[in-house]
Amino acid sequence: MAFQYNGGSIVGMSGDNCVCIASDNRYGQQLHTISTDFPKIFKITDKIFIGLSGLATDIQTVLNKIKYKVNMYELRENRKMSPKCFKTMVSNLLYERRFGPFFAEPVIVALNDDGTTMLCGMDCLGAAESPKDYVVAGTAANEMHGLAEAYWRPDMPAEELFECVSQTMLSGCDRNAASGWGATVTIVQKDKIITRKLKARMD
Amino acid sequence: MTEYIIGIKGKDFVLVGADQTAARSVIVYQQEYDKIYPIGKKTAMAVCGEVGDTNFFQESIAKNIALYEMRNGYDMTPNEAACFTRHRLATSLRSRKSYMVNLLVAGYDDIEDKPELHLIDYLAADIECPYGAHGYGAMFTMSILDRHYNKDKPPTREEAIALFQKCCDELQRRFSINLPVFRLKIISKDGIEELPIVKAKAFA
Repeated sequence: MAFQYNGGSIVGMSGDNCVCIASDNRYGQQLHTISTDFPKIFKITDKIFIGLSGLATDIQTVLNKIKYKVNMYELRENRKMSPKCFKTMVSNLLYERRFGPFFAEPVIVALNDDGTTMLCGMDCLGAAESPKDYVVAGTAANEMHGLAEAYWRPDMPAEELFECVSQTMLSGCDRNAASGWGATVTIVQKDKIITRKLKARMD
Repeated sequence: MTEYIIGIKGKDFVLVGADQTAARSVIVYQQEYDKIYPIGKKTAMAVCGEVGDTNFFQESIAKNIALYEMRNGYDMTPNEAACFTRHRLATSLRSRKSYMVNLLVAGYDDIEDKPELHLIDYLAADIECPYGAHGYGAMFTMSILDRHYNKDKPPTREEAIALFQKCCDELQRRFSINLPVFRLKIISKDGIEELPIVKAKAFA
């Protein structure tokens, strides 16, 4: 119930030395939509992006805690956090609240220094899995699983990966009442990051 | 939930409105209750929710923001005030004492030269929006705001007040709780200004 209160969905996929992550833009309270400009993708470093789905207050609290820890790491160690380290940090952060968890499910997409991709999905307790194809989270997760499975192929170039993720997100949200009102899609490549806003069924 | 607070952002001002009813169960104690409190020179907070929590939380935030100004020598911007309020509410959510308050933090940011309106619900989810409302009344009036508010050409003062009047009239027509009079405040770079009381005129 806590996961469905505000709505929201995330999908992340990996391609040929590029990763793509998308979220819907809806922020609501059960059946009432409050805002249609609430993307749930956040940039951590130039190479790491995190999408958070679930209860909006916990999305914001977890994001603030993550930003704090990443900033302190960068100040202490004088270097950027690696994706593997970031994934472990987020997992631990969530598990610290094992018996009173944050109702937020992260999806992490990242590019390692050597150009390989990292894709990771976690539940609200920090159980992380790094599949090589795609990760979906949020209220429209079930709807998006079918599409992501069908559209994904290994080593897709950036533009094709963008199409794949966009179609998965749009079709998934079309069929889910708690997600939608457009999508925000970000492709992360070695030398550039492109963010696009898509118009979907505006309901 | 039966209280109503609303904020509408203009080009260089924010309009904050609230009903003036102080009621418990079926009795109305007062129809002149001010729910919009100044928390800085150019920031105000409209609060609705659990009786007692509203007053306590609002005072606590206002005094802490005043302390920040004393310590640092400058005001908190509306964004900072909203962030601070959200953090306080989020920390208290999973503690022994949680506050059941829905609020609007509205203000004029002198540094960026723009108005800001933050909608924070009782679970401490903060969203910056061009217009927003809390309470059952929001379900009736958000669609009016969607229809008449133009994001590319934000309303002038007169247009915003007319929009607010439309919302009040709609509440009088369709909402079963009687909210006859509303308090209106405008926050711009000149500070917080109180406007004349707005009466719902649906059956005038």
